[in-house]
Amino acid sequence: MALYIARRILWAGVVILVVLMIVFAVFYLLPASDPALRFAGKSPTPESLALIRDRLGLDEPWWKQYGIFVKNFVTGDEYGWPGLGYSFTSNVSVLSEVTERAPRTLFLILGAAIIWLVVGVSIGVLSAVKRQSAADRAAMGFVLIGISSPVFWLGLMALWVFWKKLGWTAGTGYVPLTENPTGFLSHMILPWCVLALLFAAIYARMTRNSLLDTLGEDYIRTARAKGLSERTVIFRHGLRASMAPIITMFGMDIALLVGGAIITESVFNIQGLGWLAIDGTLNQDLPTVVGVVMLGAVAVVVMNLIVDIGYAFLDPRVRYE
Amino acid sequence: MSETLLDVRGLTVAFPTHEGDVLAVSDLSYTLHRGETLGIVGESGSGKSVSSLALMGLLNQERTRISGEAMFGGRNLLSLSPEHMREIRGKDIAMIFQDPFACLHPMYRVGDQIAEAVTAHASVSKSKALDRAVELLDAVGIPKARDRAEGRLPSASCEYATRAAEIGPIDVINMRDNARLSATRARRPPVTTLRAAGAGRVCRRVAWRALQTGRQSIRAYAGSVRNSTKRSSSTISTRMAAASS
Repeated sequence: MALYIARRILWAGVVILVVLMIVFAVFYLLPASDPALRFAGKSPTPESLALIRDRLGLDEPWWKQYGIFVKNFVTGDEYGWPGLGYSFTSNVSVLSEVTERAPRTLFLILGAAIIWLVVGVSIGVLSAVKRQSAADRAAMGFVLIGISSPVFWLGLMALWVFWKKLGWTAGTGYVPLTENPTGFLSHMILPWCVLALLFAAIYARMTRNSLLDTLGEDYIRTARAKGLSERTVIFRHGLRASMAPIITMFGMDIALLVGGAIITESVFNIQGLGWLAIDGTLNQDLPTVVGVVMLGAVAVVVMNLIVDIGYAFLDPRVRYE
Repeated sequence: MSETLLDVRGLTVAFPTHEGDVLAVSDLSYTLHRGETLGIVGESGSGKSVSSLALMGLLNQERTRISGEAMFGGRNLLSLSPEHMREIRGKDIAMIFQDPFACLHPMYRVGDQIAEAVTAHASVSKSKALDRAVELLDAVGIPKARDRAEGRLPSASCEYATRAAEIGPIDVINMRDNARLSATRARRPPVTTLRAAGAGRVCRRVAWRALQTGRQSIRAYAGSVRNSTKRSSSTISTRMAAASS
């Protein structure tokens, strides 16, 4: 087990290096114009250009630039760890912008993920166990609605109904948890539910299909033949074997959302990482964009690592491969 | 005459489809006494497994129609509630399935899976149940049973393991040509054996002995009984029925 985890971590490290290489190539090497000019924002001065060239090593060969890029990211720069550089548009380090925005996105994802996992998996189990029943049909109807509703429309409708008409929740914006916990919840509950609905629908359908497949397996019949209760058969034997695709999806979904739950953040004006990336793009603030892209890419790698380790706990066969 | 353990009368199993019912077992009757072994022989689709699964209550209730009666200990197995049936399964009647690799859960240790069958029917601690599982593995001749049960060694002989798990007054043993079986056994025709308590040590040749020594066997064909042998003290009544499909 320890060997398996160590190997996975090593691999994740290699993948991160490759990912950084691609990000570096996309933003430093591929564009034809002077990189310093693009990093300097809308109103470059000769001083800032010189500063950027010096800081990023732009006069050095490309592999040295990559070295500086990786070294800054891995060991941190003068603004802290991980080193993401300096935004010449907003005149703060990218890291400080990210640390300000990240909690919003992370709280959004965390809350939504809990809701969609609980709702999606329970609906999936219910409709698999009560297959062809009215409950199953209702659940699959819910799935259809969840998958087909666009998030921006759903978000606006939710705001209109629950904020404007009923006044049950707070409206758009974000209140930090530490300042005002009730305000935080009141602001987050709608974005959580709206973001979770789509995923809950997908997870419900996936859980249902996966569990139905598993329940047709011979070892489920063995479990029944042993005289185990139906609850044990479904939850202990069935659900465990059908969790693998769900865990894979879950890891990927979380990672992709870290890169920006952009639509949800926009509709509810949460101004998290997705907003930061968009804002950076519109203001030609390249360092910020690079920073968010790198974090998003690393999040994918890290979540994959967590999924792989999760697999090993779930399915002992994985450890021996 | 020894005590009657299982009395099956007119067992009929049908699978409803869009194009009408498919009759898998048609009017099957037999009697099994304590100490007897009954072999049901027949080609694929003749209803050997389905008739036994029906007795165990392991067929999907919504997608099968079962009629007839199967008296076991004064109760009709076919009309018992799911909860009562659950108490009998794995305790009084056990089933050993034909593909041992597919029949064990791939994510749990063999020992735990056998122990589960113990704890399902008796209030014993998990460690006691695991000890019992190791005993059972030992009893069917698995070397280094404890290491295998606890997952330190691969459970190579899965078939024995499933067999160890299922020990009760009646064992239903399903055997058939199977790529995983040994070459010698692959030549033999498929057979389902019902082994009553006291019929001897569970061994992989039980079904063959039954046929060769001719203690009692039913030959099944397309859901009906073709003929049956009646020797020693056992009785078997055969009702012929034409397969409707």
